[in-house]
Amino acid sequence: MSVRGLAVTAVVAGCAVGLPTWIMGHILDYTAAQVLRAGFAAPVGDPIRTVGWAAVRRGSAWQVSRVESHLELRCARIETRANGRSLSLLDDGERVWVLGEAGATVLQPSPRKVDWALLRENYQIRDAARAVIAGLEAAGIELVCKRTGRTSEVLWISAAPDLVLRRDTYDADGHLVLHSQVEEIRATTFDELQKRIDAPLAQLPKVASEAPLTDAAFAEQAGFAPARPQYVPRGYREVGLYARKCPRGRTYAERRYSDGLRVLSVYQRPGGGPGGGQGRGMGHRYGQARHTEAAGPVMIDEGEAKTVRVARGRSRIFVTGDLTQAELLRVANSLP
Amino acid sequence: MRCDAARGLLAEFQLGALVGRRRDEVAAHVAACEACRAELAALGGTAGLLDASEPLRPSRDLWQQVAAQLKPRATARAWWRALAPSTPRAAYAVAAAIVLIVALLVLFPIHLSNGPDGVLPHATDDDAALLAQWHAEASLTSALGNLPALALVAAEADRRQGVSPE
Repeated sequence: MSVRGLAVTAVVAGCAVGLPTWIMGHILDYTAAQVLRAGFAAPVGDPIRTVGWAAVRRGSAWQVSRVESHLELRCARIETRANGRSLSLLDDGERVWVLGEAGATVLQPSPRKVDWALLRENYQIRDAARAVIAGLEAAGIELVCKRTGRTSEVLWISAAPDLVLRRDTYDADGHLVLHSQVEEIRATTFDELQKRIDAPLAQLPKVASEAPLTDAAFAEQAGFAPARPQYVPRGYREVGLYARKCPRGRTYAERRYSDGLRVLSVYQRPGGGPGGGQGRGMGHRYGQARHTEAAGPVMIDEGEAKTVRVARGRSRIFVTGDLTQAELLRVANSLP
Repeated sequence: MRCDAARGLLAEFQLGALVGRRRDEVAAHVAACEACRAELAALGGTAGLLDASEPLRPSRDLWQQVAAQLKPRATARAWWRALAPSTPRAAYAVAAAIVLIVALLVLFPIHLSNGPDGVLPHATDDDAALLAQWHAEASLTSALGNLPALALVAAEADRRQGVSPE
Protein backbone atom coordinates (compact mmCIF):
# COMPACT_ATOMS: atom_id res chain seq x y z
CA MET A 1 0.00 0.00 0.00
CA SER A 2 1.32 3.45 -0.87
CA VAL A 3 2.05 6.16 1.68
CA ARG A 4 -1.02 8.05 0.49
CA GLY A 5 -3.17 4.95 0.94
CA LEU A 6 -1.85 4.45 4.46
CA ALA A 7 -2.48 8.08 5.30
CA VAL A 8 -6.05 7.99 4.01
CA THR A 9 -6.70 4.75 5.91
CA ALA A 10 -5.34 6.30 9.08
CA VAL A 11 -7.54 9.39 8.70
CA VAL A 12 -10.65 7.31 8.08
CA ALA A 13 -9.86 4.96 10.96
CA GLY A 14 -9.18 7.88 13.30
CA CYS A 15 -12.48 9.52 12.43
CA ALA A 16 -14.38 6.23 12.59
CA VAL A 17 -13.13 5.44 16.08
CA GLY A 18 -12.58 8.82 17.67
CA LEU A 19 -15.64 10.70 16.52
CA PRO A 20 -18.31 8.24 17.67
CA THR A 21 -16.49 7.86 20.99
CA TRP A 22 -16.46 11.60 21.47
CA ILE A 23 -20.12 11.87 20.53
CA MET A 24 -21.07 9.01 22.88
CA GLY A 25 -19.11 10.53 25.69
CA HIS A 26 -20.13 14.14 25.34
CA ILE A 27 -23.47 14.36 23.63
CA LEU A 28 -25.41 11.15 24.17
CA ASP A 29 -25.94 10.06 27.72
CA TYR A 30 -27.90 7.62 29.74
CA THR A 31 -31.24 8.53 31.13
CA ALA A 32 -31.37 9.94 34.59
CA ALA A 33 -33.60 7.14 35.75
CA GLN A 34 -30.99 4.48 35.12
CA VAL A 35 -28.48 6.05 37.45
CA LEU A 36 -30.92 7.59 39.90
CA ARG A 37 -32.22 4.09 40.45
CA ALA A 38 -28.80 3.18 41.76
CA GLY A 39 -29.10 5.77 44.49
CA PHE A 40 -31.75 3.81 46.31
CA ALA A 41 -31.65 0.25 47.45
CA ALA A 42 -35.39 -0.04 47.11
CA PRO A 43 -36.97 -1.18 43.85
CA VAL A 44 -40.02 0.37 42.29
CA GLY A 45 -41.54 -3.04 41.49
CA ASP A 46 -42.74 -5.86 43.74
CA PRO A 47 -41.27 -6.18 47.23
CA ILE A 48 -38.35 -8.57 47.42
CA ARG A 49 -35.68 -9.88 49.74
CA THR A 50 -32.06 -10.05 48.72
CA VAL A 51 -29.10 -11.74 50.29
CA GLY A 52 -25.58 -10.77 49.38
CA TRP A 53 -22.45 -9.35 50.86
CA ALA A 54 -20.57 -6.10 51.15
CA ALA A 55 -16.87 -5.37 51.62
CA VAL A 56 -15.18 -2.22 52.84
CA ARG A 57 -11.43 -1.75 52.54
CA ARG A 58 -9.69 -0.57 55.71
CA GLY A 59 -6.07 0.12 54.94
CA SER A 60 -4.66 -3.05 53.43
CA ALA A 61 -7.39 -5.30 54.87
CA TRP A 62 -11.01 -5.85 53.91
CA GLN A 63 -13.98 -6.03 56.21
CA VAL A 64 -16.52 -8.37 54.64
CA SER A 65 -20.01 -9.12 55.85
CA ARG A 66 -23.21 -10.67 54.61
CA VAL A 67 -26.04 -8.24 54.09
CA GLU A 68 -29.73 -9.04 53.92
CA SER A 69 -32.18 -6.53 52.53
CA HIS A 70 -35.95 -6.34 52.51
CA LEU A 71 -37.06 -3.96 49.84
CA GLU A 72 -40.40 -2.41 49.08
CA LEU A 73 -41.46 0.74 47.33
CA ARG A 74 -38.80 3.39 48.13
CA CYS A 75 -38.10 1.82 51.53
CA ALA A 76 -35.52 -0.70 52.60
CA ARG A 77 -34.31 -2.52 55.66
CA ILE A 78 -30.68 -3.57 55.63
CA GLU A 79 -29.41 -6.07 58.15
CA THR A 80 -25.85 -7.15 58.68
CA ARG A 81 -23.82 -8.97 61.24
CA ALA A 82 -20.23 -7.84 61.58
CA ASN A 83 -17.74 -8.32 64.39
CA GLY A 84 -20.27 -10.39 66.31
CA ARG A 85 -22.83 -7.60 66.36
CA SER A 86 -26.09 -7.28 64.45
CA LEU A 87 -27.14 -3.99 63.00
CA SER A 88 -30.31 -2.91 61.22
CA LEU A 89 -30.72 0.17 59.07
CA LEU A 90 -34.04 1.48 57.84
CA ASP A 91 -34.16 3.71 54.80
CA ASP A 92 -37.47 5.56 54.66
CA GLY A 93 -36.59 7.22 51.35
CA GLU A 94 -35.43 10.43 52.99
CA ARG A 95 -33.28 9.45 55.93
CA VAL A 96 -31.39 6.42 57.10
CA TRP A 97 -32.15 5.22 60.64
CA VAL A 98 -30.28 2.88 62.92
CA LEU A 99 -32.74 0.57 64.64
CA GLY A 100 -31.64 -0.19 68.16
CA GLU A 101 -33.16 -1.61 71.31
CA ALA A 102 -33.59 1.89 72.69
CA GLY A 103 -35.33 3.09 69.55
CA ALA A 104 -34.41 4.51 66.17
CA THR A 105 -31.82 7.21 65.66
CA VAL A 106 -31.12 9.13 62.48
CA LEU A 107 -27.80 8.07 61.09
CA GLN A 108 -27.41 11.09 58.88
CA PRO A 109 -29.38 14.23 59.63
CA SER A 110 -29.55 15.59 56.14
CA PRO A 111 -32.18 14.12 53.83
CA ARG A 112 -31.00 12.05 50.94
CA LYS A 113 -30.95 13.98 47.72
CA VAL A 114 -29.33 13.43 44.36
CA ASP A 115 -28.11 16.55 42.58
CA TRP A 116 -28.43 15.07 39.14
CA ALA A 117 -27.18 18.17 37.32
CA LEU A 118 -24.05 18.30 39.47
CA LEU A 119 -23.44 14.58 39.02
CA ARG A 120 -23.63 14.86 35.26
CA GLU A 121 -21.48 17.97 35.30
CA ASN A 122 -18.65 16.11 37.00
CA TYR A 123 -19.08 12.53 35.87
CA GLN A 124 -19.25 10.90 32.51
CA ILE A 125 -21.66 7.97 32.40
CA ARG A 126 -20.51 5.16 30.15
CA ASP A 127 -21.73 1.76 29.19
CA ALA A 128 -19.87 -1.07 30.91
CA ALA A 129 -19.96 -4.80 30.25
CA ARG A 130 -23.24 -6.61 30.88
CA ALA A 131 -23.28 -9.44 33.38
CA VAL A 132 -25.59 -12.08 34.80
CA ILE A 133 -25.77 -11.66 38.56
CA ALA A 134 -28.01 -13.69 40.87
CA GLY A 135 -29.70 -15.12 37.78
CA LEU A 136 -30.63 -11.72 36.36
CA GLU A 137 -29.13 -9.93 33.41
CA ALA A 138 -27.66 -6.64 34.53
CA ALA A 139 -26.50 -3.63 32.52
CA GLY A 140 -23.15 -2.20 33.56
CA ILE A 141 -22.85 1.54 34.04
CA GLU A 142 -19.53 3.23 34.70
CA LEU A 143 -19.19 6.67 36.26
CA VAL A 144 -15.95 8.33 35.25
CA CYS A 145 -14.76 11.44 37.06
CA LYS A 146 -14.18 14.15 34.44
CA ARG A 147 -11.66 15.95 36.63
CA THR A 148 -9.33 12.99 37.10
CA GLY A 149 -10.30 10.79 34.17
CA ARG A 150 -10.55 7.83 36.56
CA THR A 151 -13.43 5.43 37.10
CA SER A 152 -15.22 6.25 40.35
CA GLU A 153 -18.06 3.78 40.36
CA VAL A 154 -19.28 0.79 38.35
CA LEU A 155 -22.85 -0.38 38.88
CA TRP A 156 -24.70 -3.37 37.49
CA ILE A 157 -28.43 -2.75 37.42
CA SER A 158 -31.13 -5.21 36.49
CA ALA A 159 -34.16 -3.98 34.61
CA ALA A 160 -36.84 -6.20 36.18
CA PRO A 161 -36.87 -5.77 39.07
CA ASP A 162 -35.05 -2.41 39.20
CA LEU A 163 -32.17 -3.32 41.43
CA VAL A 164 -28.49 -2.61 41.91
CA LEU A 165 -27.05 -6.11 41.82
CA ARG A 166 -23.39 -5.23 42.11
CA ARG A 167 -21.45 -2.14 42.90
CA ASP A 168 -17.70 -1.39 42.80
CA THR A 169 -16.41 1.88 44.20
CA TYR A 170 -12.91 3.18 43.48
CA ASP A 171 -10.99 5.89 45.31
CA ALA A 172 -9.05 8.79 43.77
CA ASP A 173 -5.97 6.58 43.40
CA GLY A 174 -7.93 4.00 41.41
CA HIS A 175 -8.09 1.40 44.21
CA LEU A 176 -11.24 -0.61 44.83
CA VAL A 177 -12.52 0.50 48.25
CA LEU A 178 -16.12 -0.74 48.41
CA HIS A 179 -17.77 -3.73 46.87
CA SER A 180 -21.26 -5.06 47.28
CA GLN A 181 -23.10 -7.78 45.44
CA VAL A 182 -26.46 -9.49 45.57
CA GLU A 183 -26.27 -13.28 45.40
CA GLU A 184 -29.86 -14.32 45.91
CA ILE A 185 -33.22 -12.70 45.18
CA ARG A 186 -36.48 -13.97 46.57
CA ALA A 187 -40.03 -12.73 46.79
CA THR A 188 -40.96 -11.70 50.29
CA THR A 189 -44.21 -12.16 52.19
CA PHE A 190 -46.63 -9.53 53.44
CA ASP A 191 -46.02 -10.62 57.03
CA GLU A 192 -42.29 -10.27 56.61
CA LEU A 193 -42.65 -6.78 55.19
CA GLN A 194 -45.02 -5.80 57.95
CA LYS A 195 -42.56 -6.97 60.57
CA ARG A 196 -39.36 -5.70 58.98
CA ILE A 197 -40.38 -2.38 57.45
CA ASP A 198 -43.92 -1.20 58.02
CA ALA A 199 -44.01 -1.61 61.81
CA PRO A 200 -40.64 0.11 62.42
CA LEU A 201 -41.61 2.87 59.98
CA ALA A 202 -44.73 3.59 62.00
CA GLN A 203 -42.65 3.92 65.17
CA LEU A 204 -40.04 6.31 63.85
CA PRO A 205 -39.87 9.46 65.96
CA LYS A 206 -40.78 12.77 64.42
CA VAL A 207 -37.64 14.76 63.84
CA ALA A 208 -37.28 18.14 62.26
CA SER A 209 -35.30 18.15 59.09
CA GLU A 210 -31.88 19.45 59.96
CA ALA A 211 -31.11 22.21 57.51
CA PRO A 212 -27.55 23.45 57.07
CA LEU A 213 -26.61 26.38 59.28
CA THR A 214 -25.60 29.81 58.18
CA ASP A 215 -22.17 30.99 59.33
CA ALA A 216 -23.79 33.45 61.75
CA ALA A 217 -26.16 30.84 63.18
CA PHE A 218 -23.29 28.40 63.61
CA ALA A 219 -21.13 31.00 65.38
CA GLU A 220 -23.98 31.81 67.74
CA GLN A 221 -24.67 28.14 68.45
CA ALA A 222 -21.11 26.82 68.72
CA GLY A 223 -19.23 29.89 69.90
CA PHE A 224 -16.69 30.04 67.11
CA ALA A 225 -16.72 31.12 63.48
CA PRO A 226 -15.47 28.50 61.06
CA ALA A 227 -13.40 29.66 58.12
CA ARG A 228 -14.09 28.78 54.52
CA PRO A 229 -11.35 27.21 52.35
CA GLN A 230 -10.18 29.43 49.53
CA TYR A 231 -9.65 26.36 47.38
CA VAL A 232 -11.69 23.27 46.69
CA PRO A 233 -11.14 21.02 43.67
CA ARG A 234 -12.97 21.93 40.49
CA GLY A 235 -16.50 20.58 40.42
CA TYR A 236 -17.09 20.59 44.18
CA ARG A 237 -19.88 22.82 45.50
CA GLU A 238 -20.65 23.70 49.07
CA VAL A 239 -23.60 21.70 50.39
CA GLY A 240 -23.85 23.23 53.83
CA LEU A 241 -22.38 23.91 57.24
CA TYR A 242 -23.21 21.55 60.09
CA ALA A 243 -22.44 21.46 63.81
CA ARG A 244 -21.25 18.01 64.90
CA LYS A 245 -20.57 17.04 68.50
CA CYS A 246 -18.30 14.19 69.50
CA PRO A 247 -18.77 12.13 72.70
CA ARG A 248 -15.92 14.07 74.37
CA GLY A 249 -17.97 17.24 74.13
CA ARG A 250 -15.94 18.86 71.38
CA THR A 251 -17.92 20.70 68.76
CA TYR A 252 -16.78 20.43 65.18
CA ALA A 253 -17.84 22.61 62.31
CA GLU A 254 -18.33 20.48 59.22
CA ARG A 255 -18.36 22.36 55.96
CA ARG A 256 -19.51 19.83 53.43
CA TYR A 257 -18.90 19.90 49.69
CA SER A 258 -20.08 17.54 46.97
CA ASP A 259 -19.33 16.93 43.32
CA GLY A 260 -22.59 15.04 42.86
CA LEU A 261 -21.15 11.67 43.86
CA ARG A 262 -18.34 12.16 46.36
CA VAL A 263 -18.34 14.22 49.54
CA LEU A 264 -15.53 16.44 50.79
CA SER A 265 -15.72 17.35 54.48
CA VAL A 266 -13.75 20.18 56.08
CA TYR A 267 -13.90 19.84 59.87
CA GLN A 268 -12.72 22.63 62.17
CA ARG A 269 -12.15 22.33 65.90
CA PRO A 270 -11.37 25.43 67.95
CA GLY A 271 -8.53 25.54 70.47
CA GLY A 272 -9.18 25.69 74.23
CA GLY A 273 -12.25 24.67 76.24
CA PRO A 274 -14.02 21.36 75.78
CA GLY A 275 -13.69 21.67 72.05
CA GLY A 276 -9.98 22.37 72.09
CA GLY A 277 -8.43 19.26 73.50
CA GLN A 278 -5.15 17.93 72.25
CA GLY A 279 -5.02 14.97 69.93
CA ARG A 280 -2.35 12.34 70.19
CA GLY A 281 -0.08 13.10 67.30
CA MET A 282 2.70 10.64 66.70
CA GLY A 283 5.05 10.35 63.80
CA HIS A 284 4.67 6.62 63.34
CA ARG A 285 6.30 6.19 60.06
CA TYR A 286 8.93 8.85 59.76
CA GLY A 287 10.26 9.15 63.25
CA GLN A 288 10.06 8.00 66.82
CA ALA A 289 6.80 8.26 68.70
CA ARG A 290 6.32 11.56 70.47
CA HIS A 291 3.61 12.37 72.95
CA THR A 292 3.05 15.86 71.65
CA GLU A 293 0.84 16.77 68.76
CA ALA A 294 2.70 17.28 65.52
CA ALA A 295 2.80 20.95 64.54
CA GLY A 296 2.93 20.47 60.78
CA PRO A 297 0.36 18.84 58.50
CA VAL A 298 -0.12 15.12 59.04
CA MET A 299 -1.95 12.30 57.34
CA ILE A 300 -4.38 10.31 59.44
CA ASP A 301 -5.01 6.76 58.32
CA GLU A 302 -7.79 5.80 60.65
CA GLY A 303 -11.21 5.09 59.26
CA GLU A 304 -12.56 4.64 55.76
CA ALA A 305 -11.29 7.85 54.20
CA LYS A 306 -8.04 9.76 53.92
CA THR A 307 -7.74 12.69 56.27
CA VAL A 308 -5.18 15.50 56.41
CA ARG A 309 -4.85 17.52 59.62
CA VAL A 310 -3.27 20.94 59.86
CA ALA A 311 -2.96 23.34 62.79
CA ARG A 312 -4.02 26.99 62.86
CA GLY A 313 -2.79 28.29 66.18
CA ARG A 314 -4.60 26.07 68.68
CA SER A 315 -7.34 25.22 66.23
CA ARG A 316 -7.25 22.06 64.18
CA ILE A 317 -8.50 21.56 60.65
CA PHE A 318 -9.30 18.12 59.23
CA VAL A 319 -9.99 17.61 55.54
CA THR A 320 -11.51 14.26 54.59
CA GLY A 321 -12.51 13.16 51.15
CA ASP A 322 -11.82 11.06 48.13
CA LEU A 323 -8.90 13.14 46.90
CA THR A 324 -5.17 12.66 46.62
CA GLN A 325 -3.09 13.63 49.64
CA ALA A 326 -1.75 16.66 47.77
CA GLU A 327 -5.26 17.90 47.02
CA LEU A 328 -6.43 17.38 50.62
CA LEU A 329 -3.42 19.34 51.85
CA ARG A 330 -4.07 22.11 49.36
CA VAL A 331 -7.65 22.45 50.60
CA ALA A 332 -6.48 22.48 54.22
CA ASN A 333 -3.76 25.05 53.57
CA SER A 334 -6.18 27.34 51.79
CA LEU A 335 -8.07 28.05 55.00
CA PRO A 336 -7.14 31.49 56.28
CA MET B 1 54.95 17.17 -33.95
CA ARG B 2 52.12 17.84 -36.37
CA CYS B 3 50.89 21.31 -37.24
CA ASP B 4 47.45 20.98 -35.58
CA ALA B 5 49.06 19.96 -32.32
CA ALA B 6 51.69 22.69 -32.53
CA ARG B 7 49.18 25.47 -33.27
CA GLY B 8 47.24 24.58 -30.12
CA LEU B 9 50.37 25.34 -28.14
CA LEU B 10 51.65 28.39 -30.03
CA ALA B 11 49.99 30.96 -27.77
CA GLU B 12 51.52 29.46 -24.65
CA PHE B 13 54.88 29.13 -26.47
CA GLN B 14 54.73 32.82 -27.42
CA LEU B 15 54.04 33.82 -23.79
CA GLY B 16 56.85 31.57 -22.52
CA ALA B 17 54.42 29.39 -20.57
CA LEU B 18 55.68 26.10 -22.07
CA VAL B 19 58.59 24.34 -20.41
CA GLY B 20 60.68 21.23 -20.93
CA ARG B 21 60.11 18.77 -23.70
CA ARG B 22 56.88 20.39 -24.94
CA ARG B 23 58.67 23.71 -25.47
CA ASP B 24 61.49 21.96 -27.38
CA GLU B 25 59.08 20.09 -29.60
CA VAL B 26 57.12 23.27 -30.49
CA ALA B 27 60.37 25.15 -31.11
CA ALA B 28 61.63 22.36 -33.45
CA HIS B 29 58.32 22.30 -35.34
CA VAL B 30 58.22 26.10 -35.79
CA ALA B 31 61.79 26.03 -37.08
CA ALA B 32 60.84 23.47 -39.68
CA CYS B 33 57.30 24.68 -40.62
CA GLU B 34 56.77 27.88 -42.56
CA ALA B 35 53.07 28.16 -41.85
CA CYS B 36 53.42 27.75 -38.12
CA ARG B 37 56.29 30.23 -38.07
CA ALA B 38 53.95 32.78 -39.70
CA GLU B 39 51.23 32.01 -37.17
CA LEU B 40 53.70 32.51 -34.32
CA ALA B 41 54.73 35.85 -35.77
CA ALA B 42 51.09 36.95 -35.91
CA LEU B 43 50.58 35.95 -32.31
CA GLY B 44 53.64 37.92 -31.36
CA GLY B 45 52.06 41.05 -32.80
CA THR B 46 48.87 40.55 -30.83
CA ALA B 47 50.76 39.99 -27.59
CA GLY B 48 52.73 43.15 -28.23
CA LEU B 49 49.49 45.11 -28.54
CA LEU B 50 48.24 43.69 -25.23
CA ASP B 51 51.45 44.61 -23.47
CA ALA B 52 51.24 48.16 -24.77
CA SER B 53 47.67 48.80 -23.46
CA GLU B 54 47.07 50.35 -20.01
CA PRO B 55 45.39 48.00 -17.53
CA LEU B 56 41.78 49.02 -16.74
CA ARG B 57 40.91 49.71 -13.10
CA PRO B 58 37.30 49.72 -11.82
CA SER B 59 35.92 53.07 -10.74
CA ARG B 60 35.36 53.70 -7.05
CA ASP B 61 31.60 53.80 -7.36
CA LEU B 62 31.30 50.69 -9.51
CA TRP B 63 30.00 48.57 -6.59
CA GLN B 64 27.34 51.13 -5.70
CA GLN B 65 26.11 51.04 -9.27
CA VAL B 66 25.98 47.25 -9.24
CA ALA B 67 24.34 47.15 -5.82
CA ALA B 68 21.66 49.57 -6.96
CA GLN B 69 20.66 47.18 -9.70
CA LEU B 70 20.48 44.13 -7.45
CA LYS B 71 16.95 43.08 -6.33
CA PRO B 72 16.49 42.82 -2.59
CA ARG B 73 16.65 39.23 -1.28
CA ALA B 74 13.27 37.56 -0.86
CA THR B 75 11.75 38.01 2.63
CA ALA B 76 12.51 35.26 5.13
CA ARG B 77 10.06 32.36 5.06
CA ALA B 78 7.53 32.36 7.86
CA TRP B 79 8.38 29.78 10.54
CA TRP B 80 5.27 27.81 9.87
CA ARG B 81 6.17 27.61 6.19
CA ALA B 82 9.43 26.03 7.18
CA LEU B 83 7.50 23.41 9.16
CA ALA B 84 4.98 22.77 6.42
CA PRO B 85 5.50 19.53 4.56
CA SER B 86 7.11 20.00 1.21
CA THR B 87 5.33 17.22 -0.65
CA PRO B 88 1.69 16.09 -0.82
CA ARG B 89 2.66 12.72 0.66
CA ALA B 90 4.23 14.36 3.67
CA ALA B 91 1.13 16.53 4.07
CA TYR B 92 -1.12 13.45 4.12
CA ALA B 93 1.15 11.77 6.64
CA VAL B 94 1.11 14.83 8.95
CA ALA B 95 -2.70 15.09 8.69
CA ALA B 96 -3.08 11.40 9.49
CA ALA B 97 -0.77 11.69 12.48
CA ILE B 98 -2.74 14.65 13.86
CA VAL B 99 -6.07 12.82 13.47
CA LEU B 100 -4.65 9.72 15.16
CA ILE B 101 -3.26 11.74 18.07
CA VAL B 102 -6.62 13.48 18.56
CA ALA B 103 -8.45 10.14 18.40
CA LEU B 104 -6.07 8.61 20.95
CA LEU B 105 -6.48 11.59 23.28
CA VAL B 106 -10.26 11.21 23.07
CA LEU B 107 -10.08 7.47 23.68
CA PHE B 108 -7.43 7.60 26.39
CA PRO B 109 -7.53 11.02 28.03
CA ILE B 110 -4.34 12.02 29.75
CA HIS B 111 -4.63 12.01 33.52
CA LEU B 112 -2.70 14.81 35.11
CA SER B 113 -1.81 13.66 38.56
CA ASN B 114 -1.37 15.94 41.50
CA GLY B 115 1.91 14.38 42.41
CA PRO B 116 2.79 11.36 44.45
CA ASP B 117 1.30 10.80 47.86
CA GLY B 118 3.16 9.80 50.95
CA VAL B 119 4.98 13.06 51.61
CA LEU B 120 3.21 13.75 54.90
CA PRO B 121 4.07 12.04 58.17
CA HIS B 122 1.31 9.83 59.52
CA ALA B 123 -0.37 10.38 62.85
CA THR B 124 -3.45 9.48 64.84
CA ASP B 125 -6.04 11.69 66.44
CA ASP B 126 -8.55 11.06 69.21
CA ASP B 127 -11.47 11.93 66.99
CA ALA B 128 -10.11 10.70 63.66
CA ALA B 129 -12.23 7.56 63.58
CA LEU B 130 -15.33 9.55 64.43
CA LEU B 131 -14.65 12.13 61.72
CA ALA B 132 -14.06 9.34 59.21
CA GLN B 133 -17.31 7.72 60.27
CA TRP B 134 -19.23 10.98 59.86
CA HIS B 135 -17.69 11.43 56.46
CA ALA B 136 -18.47 7.87 55.39
CA GLU B 137 -22.07 8.25 56.51
CA ALA B 138 -22.39 11.48 54.57
CA SER B 139 -20.84 9.87 51.50
CA LEU B 140 -22.83 6.67 51.58
CA THR B 141 -26.21 8.23 52.19
CA SER B 142 -25.97 11.27 49.93
CA ALA B 143 -26.02 11.14 46.16
CA LEU B 144 -25.96 7.52 44.98
CA GLY B 145 -26.13 6.02 48.42
CA ASN B 146 -24.64 2.62 49.07
CA LEU B 147 -26.65 1.12 51.89
CA PRO B 148 -24.95 -2.30 52.07
CA ALA B 149 -21.58 -0.58 52.52
CA LEU B 150 -23.16 1.89 54.91
CA ALA B 151 -24.40 -0.99 57.04
CA LEU B 152 -20.83 -2.20 57.43
CA VAL B 153 -19.54 1.26 58.32
CA ALA B 154 -22.30 1.70 60.88
CA ALA B 155 -21.62 -1.74 62.33
CA GLU B 156 -17.94 -0.92 62.71
CA ALA B 157 -18.78 2.39 64.39
CA ASP B 158 -21.17 0.54 66.68
CA ARG B 159 -18.39 -1.87 67.62
CA ARG B 160 -15.94 0.99 68.33
CA GLN B 161 -18.44 2.71 70.58
CA GLY B 162 -19.10 -0.58 72.32
CA VAL B 163 -15.44 -1.14 73.17
CA SER B 164 -14.67 2.51 73.88
CA PRO B 165 -13.81 3.28 77.52
CA GLU B 166 -16.27 6.13 77.30
